[in-house]
Amino acid sequence: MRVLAASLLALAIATSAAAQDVTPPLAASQEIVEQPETAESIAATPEGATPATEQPAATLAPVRPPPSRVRPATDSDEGGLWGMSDRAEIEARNSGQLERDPALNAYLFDVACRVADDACGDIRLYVMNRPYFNASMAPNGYMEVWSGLLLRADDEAQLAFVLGHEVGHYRRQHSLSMMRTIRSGAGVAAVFSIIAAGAGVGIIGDIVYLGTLASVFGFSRENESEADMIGYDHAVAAGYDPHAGHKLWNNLVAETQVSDNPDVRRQETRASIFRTHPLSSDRVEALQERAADASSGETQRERYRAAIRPFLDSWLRADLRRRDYGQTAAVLDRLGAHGEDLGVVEYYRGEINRLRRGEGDRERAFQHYTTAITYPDAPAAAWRELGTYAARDGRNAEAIALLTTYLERAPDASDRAFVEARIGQLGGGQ
Amino acid sequence: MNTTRRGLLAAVAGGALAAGCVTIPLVRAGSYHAKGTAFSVTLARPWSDMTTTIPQPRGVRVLTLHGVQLNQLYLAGIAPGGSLMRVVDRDTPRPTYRTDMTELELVEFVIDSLATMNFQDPESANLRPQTLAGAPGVRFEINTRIDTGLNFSGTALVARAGENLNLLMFLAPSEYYYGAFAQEVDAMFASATPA
Repeated sequence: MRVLAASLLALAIATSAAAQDVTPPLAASQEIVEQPETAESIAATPEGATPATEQPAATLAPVRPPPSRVRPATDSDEGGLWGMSDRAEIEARNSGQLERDPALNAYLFDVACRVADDACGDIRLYVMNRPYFNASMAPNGYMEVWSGLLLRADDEAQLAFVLGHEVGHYRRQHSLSMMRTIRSGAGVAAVFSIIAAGAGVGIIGDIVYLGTLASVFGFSRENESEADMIGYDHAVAAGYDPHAGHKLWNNLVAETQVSDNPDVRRQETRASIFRTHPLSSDRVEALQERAADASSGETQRERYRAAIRPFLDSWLRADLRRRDYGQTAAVLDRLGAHGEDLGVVEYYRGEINRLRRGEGDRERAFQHYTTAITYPDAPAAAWRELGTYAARDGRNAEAIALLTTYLERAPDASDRAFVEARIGQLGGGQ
Repeated sequence: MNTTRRGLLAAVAGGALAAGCVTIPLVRAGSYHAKGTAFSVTLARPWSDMTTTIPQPRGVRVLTLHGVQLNQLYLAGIAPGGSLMRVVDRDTPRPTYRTDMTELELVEFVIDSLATMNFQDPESANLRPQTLAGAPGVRFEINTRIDTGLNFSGTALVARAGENLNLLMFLAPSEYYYGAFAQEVDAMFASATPA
């Protein structure tokens, strides 16, 4: 399965322009996301896939214009690339990672269309719950946006820049030229190494696989710079903040530098995704220079936060499971910078410290949980953690009160029976 | 000359094929003590030991009846600092067992390990106290999906044994396979005795 996915991906997918970390491979998926469809768009539906017209139309998105491209002949190299992209797209539709929330999908499609110009009708967008910074757009118009990207973009302007960047790869057909380069012979040995790497298991195979994939099939620095400028131009033309692009790249560089994983910190100086998706200083500077003389635009920060707010808790939990506390802390700092969602932000700061167990972490965790419960959006689990700390310290009455509050706030808690038993033990010990 | 060369090539190819073959040991029905664990369980039927084909960390064994895509049984004795999955790169972060974990953190350790193994959005449910080989532990159910979208169900039992963590976990597709073996697995968990 993974070998198949590796083979398909190697040739079909335009890998991320912005991959910020070692990332797991594209997985399989579930069903179609809700996007506005027209008769024209059905022509672009991948062969063998469920027709998009079976899905309800989203309410937030604009009417989809007709596709700008016609499916190439199947006996052409471009047709072959489309076919493989189709198969990857079908896997994405069935993936266990697919986020099907209609409002989020409609919102992202709307943003993508704002920066896609006449390619809007080509886009079929899939949100994948994967805690890594990544987005891609395949030659057949199949676009993926990963939750790790949505968690890391500060505002809609930054998201628009990245989506515009991916559309830039698509419009310039970078993956087609990449495939033709590979077919020239230079990449034959590398294809075998990719397939071998793809046969790995779990996160280990994922890391080897994507590292190899990126080292061979990543876009060139020239492709990346070109896509940056296209993304910039389209985002600015749509009225977005011209500084969004370089701010986003700078944030990612800063986050990389505080990673707990030495491999991630070193990734600009060793073989990695960054090497072939170069997030180099010249790219940042080029965007900065371009933005210097531009008139101001909108960040649409509030609108963006409102769209991703319902997912913060689950996306942060997934990010925390990567066990890269430095990176998650950087994400939390940015999320909390405007004084919003502080109950969630403080709770996850507490979670970092609880899990890390370094010098002084216990005290810091306690402080963050204590701060979290002063905000109305604090997850119920903050009370449970404080109750656990109180029980450990022998403050049984306080522990009982906190654990009881936890159960009141989370009546369907999966650990209810266990916590109730704990409350009973603490009550007996008083 | 040509015949000799063909014979040589055939021998080399045969040797390469043989080298690629892996023997999957059969675990007989009856009492079974998985190497590295501090408990024994009673198996109602023979299982295949996949540990050699899917390398696991020290103290972790994986058995299956019909292949790991259809059912997998973990039996583990994890030392402090140990993990439920094998990592090649020592810098790759992964959940590790610590002796100061609370019971809820032991559950979190298992669930986060599953997430690291590429199970999608694993969640625990119905946590309750239960003994494992006489030691107080936590029993819980697991709901998750694999990356192709197939729903998986599971059940696990964890308990400390001295400094180590003992674990029993069964995972299978929710449709048919989990339910078909749930009772048998439940009896197996209950059969655990100190080794």
